[in-house]
Amino acid sequence: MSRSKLMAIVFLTWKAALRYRFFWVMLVMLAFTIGGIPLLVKDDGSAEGMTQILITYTLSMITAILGAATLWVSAGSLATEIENYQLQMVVTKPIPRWQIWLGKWLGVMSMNFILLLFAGGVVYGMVEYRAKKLTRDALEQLEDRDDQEIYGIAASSQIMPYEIDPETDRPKLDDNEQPILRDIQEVREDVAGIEEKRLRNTVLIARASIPISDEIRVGNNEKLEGWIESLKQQYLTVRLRQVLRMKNEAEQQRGKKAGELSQELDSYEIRQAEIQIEEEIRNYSQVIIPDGRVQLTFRKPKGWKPADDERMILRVYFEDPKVSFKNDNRYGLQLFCGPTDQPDVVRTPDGLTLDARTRHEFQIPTSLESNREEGDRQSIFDENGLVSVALMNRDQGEPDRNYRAQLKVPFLDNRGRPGGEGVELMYHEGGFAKNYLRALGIVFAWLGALAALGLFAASFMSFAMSAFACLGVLIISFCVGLMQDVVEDGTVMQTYTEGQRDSSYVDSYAVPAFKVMISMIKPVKDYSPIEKLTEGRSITWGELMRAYGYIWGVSGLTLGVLGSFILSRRQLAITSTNGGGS
Amino acid sequence: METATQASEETETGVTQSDDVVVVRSLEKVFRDFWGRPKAKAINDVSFEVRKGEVFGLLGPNGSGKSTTIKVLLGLLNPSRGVARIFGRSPRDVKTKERIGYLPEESYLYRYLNSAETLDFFGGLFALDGEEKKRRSEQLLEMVGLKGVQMRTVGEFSKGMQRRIGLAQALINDPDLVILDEPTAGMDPVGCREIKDLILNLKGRGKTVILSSHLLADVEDVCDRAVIYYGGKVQQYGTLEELLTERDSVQFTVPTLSETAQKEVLEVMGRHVDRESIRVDNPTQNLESLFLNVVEEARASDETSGATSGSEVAEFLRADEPVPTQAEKMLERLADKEAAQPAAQEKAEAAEPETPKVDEAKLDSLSEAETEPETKKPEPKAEAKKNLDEVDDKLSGLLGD
Repeated sequence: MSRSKLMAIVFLTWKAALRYRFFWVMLVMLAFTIGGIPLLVKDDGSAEGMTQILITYTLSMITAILGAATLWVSAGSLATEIENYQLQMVVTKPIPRWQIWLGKWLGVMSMNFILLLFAGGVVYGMVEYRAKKLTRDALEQLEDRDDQEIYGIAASSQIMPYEIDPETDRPKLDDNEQPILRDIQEVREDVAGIEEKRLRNTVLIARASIPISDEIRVGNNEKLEGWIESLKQQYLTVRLRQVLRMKNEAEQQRGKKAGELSQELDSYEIRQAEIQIEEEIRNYSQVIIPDGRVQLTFRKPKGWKPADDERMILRVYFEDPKVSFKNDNRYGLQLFCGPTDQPDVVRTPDGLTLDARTRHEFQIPTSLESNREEGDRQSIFDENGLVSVALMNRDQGEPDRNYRAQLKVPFLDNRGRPGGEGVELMYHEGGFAKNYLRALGIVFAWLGALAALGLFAASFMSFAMSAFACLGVLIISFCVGLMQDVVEDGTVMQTYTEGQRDSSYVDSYAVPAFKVMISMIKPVKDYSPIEKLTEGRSITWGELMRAYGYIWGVSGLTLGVLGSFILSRRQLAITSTNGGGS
Repeated sequence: METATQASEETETGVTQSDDVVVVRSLEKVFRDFWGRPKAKAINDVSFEVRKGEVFGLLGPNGSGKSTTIKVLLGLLNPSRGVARIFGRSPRDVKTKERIGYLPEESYLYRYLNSAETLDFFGGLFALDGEEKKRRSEQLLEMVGLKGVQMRTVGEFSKGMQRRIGLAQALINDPDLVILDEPTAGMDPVGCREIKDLILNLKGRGKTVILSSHLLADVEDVCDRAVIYYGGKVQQYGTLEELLTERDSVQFTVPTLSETAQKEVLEVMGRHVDRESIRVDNPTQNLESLFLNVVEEARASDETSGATSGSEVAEFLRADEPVPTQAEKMLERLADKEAAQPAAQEKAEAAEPETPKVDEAKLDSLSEAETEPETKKPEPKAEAKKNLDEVDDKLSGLLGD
């Protein structure tokens, strides 16, 4: 492959973008978007909220603008050159057509690289500026406070007001055996930096999830799967009787006489009833009754060696099944953590109440405090690398409510496997800058796939048609949720007759087609970095590689190979403007 | 005279000349609609070959299949049937394209690039290194008279200027085969002359040129052989001499005779042929020659913001001694020294057998008849031009117009 030939096509794409002012228009649009969004959107008043909104909206808008522009430019650059016969001049030169295709893709992507770097850089700068501004503003506010007050705030904020002897890890003492206070300016800066520090610990950080194991205990300390199975057996007979009765009622409504009614269910109906009851029990297993307890186990990631004073973050989310919205009610919930043989060694204070439908974070030590004094620091993970996290419903009802609430903690995902958002244990994997860069890397991978899609469409369609088709694909990709519902329901119909979901003759085509489309689109869509970034969750190098592997390796490469093959076979002297093919 | 049928027979017997640059055999192109139904047969059973070092004309009215043939030769269309080979390879072969220069019938260049960038881009597609690309670009821009406007974008150019930059890009790789589709379309007479002159120079350097045109004078001026298309089929195929010679009449050109002498000559002729079939008149200079002289004089005093008309080439057109033109010198520079020597040898070898005797006689007679030496070189076939109307009539007859 000749580099100079490829670069000639790349430079041509750049020149077109510059001469038609596309590049400059994009630059201005991005600048306005990034600068304007923080002025337009409202946050919850907290530094975390503002930062999360800033990152979410700006990065989403950047991705949307660059994505649409990428589709437009890639489809346009190839399709219009074919329609205007300019590509005829190029293909009569000694450059294979796949290199023309690749050159155009590289041209678009190199432009995207610059634009994304610019936009991403500005957003990062804004986030950093706002984070540092928190400390600056707080310093100004603390100017009027006297030193004593500052030391007090420091002490109540877990900021050490005394100088620490590194050897003993205790405050240094003066001649009168009194602890020596730290320099007031340092303490003032530490106090002023509390908000910034919190922001950097919750949002501007890369925290990775500690994987949850299948070892889940519910109810009377029973294993989840066994508990589900026992309940299933207990209730299945009753359920089957209910289903048969409903079936007979439906038969009667259709005019069947008593002697003609079904006496038993067929195997499909039994299986459906089994699936349904298991789903219900699995769902119910996530509900902790008053004084009930759920115990989960997490496995220490390979290669992670926490420092003795390092802390993990336990994130908990729960709902009151009786309240379908967020309110100010507080519920008693106690958390326990420890090695599997000492599961309650670390615990939250008694009487702790939390609000529902909110993500709460707790810091969990990686080494057990009690053993530190003896100089033998014991890891919170047991010898098998497991740590137990238990949640106990301590709700008393009063004074918010007149009932003791059951608390639903969704620790299972939507496939019924451990891994829901109810309980997450995370550790500090890296800094925000590296995480942010990896997030931009995934956005860039996305843009690469869109560029390939645009070029692929333009390889055999006119500009108008290819733009329309690309738009169609984008719209379809936004409808994955709807398609998933159809696949789960087995029908496109949303109406019911006699308690049964109606079906349509379209189902036999639509459901398999949707299945295929979901399997193609969803894995690509799942690589969305923005949510993780705003939650301070780590986007690992592995995830980045997997994203490139799937988005570029599967989607992009497939489109690229197909697109350049079609372009190579295409008779370029025949265009949509001068007739059909031969 | 060769015919399409004879050419087909050659295929069947496998007789092809070893120096054939282009071989076309039983070529057919059917355009189909969206549903695959035949819509139009653009070319039908076309066979010919183009030999190394010749200027080959594709002649025919609009829609006769000339451009379709060229597009098949360039790999822009796939033949429905038959075979096309260039340098013994498929037209789609990338190696083949290294040796081809192509000027399409319209300017299909990038409108946002200026002249220098256009040549830089196309030079890049031939993997020319930076210095070489720059050197060739400068010389080509000078040759086509666009050096003064090289920073203007192609979109701002007039049609003629676009043809000029199109021609320059077609020559950036010093091609062995130059395919020119309607090269003089939109050009002023000076530009037309320069292009024809350039074609002859390319031929002199051993290059092969395929010229597609419906302008009969263009083809007649420069082509050695031609095919005449009509309705997608080859109607006539052969050398221009074979195609144009009226074998049932003879033409004499002599200095002006006295009335008595004319009568005597007519009397002698009258003894052998019917008096009514004898025609006597004065040779005239054609309009192209007159126009070129006028422009040449005007250019000496006036300036222009558009393309200059390539004064170097014009000087060559007027020169008596066989000094190389600017275009020739430029093309020599473009070629490698090693390559230039055999090319020159080929030129010498090729020139002798290819130069038709009749043309020499016509040139000789032209030398005596013309009063201005400047117009001698650009009028190699002045005698034929004198009878241009007759030639047009004859070819028009062949084309069925």
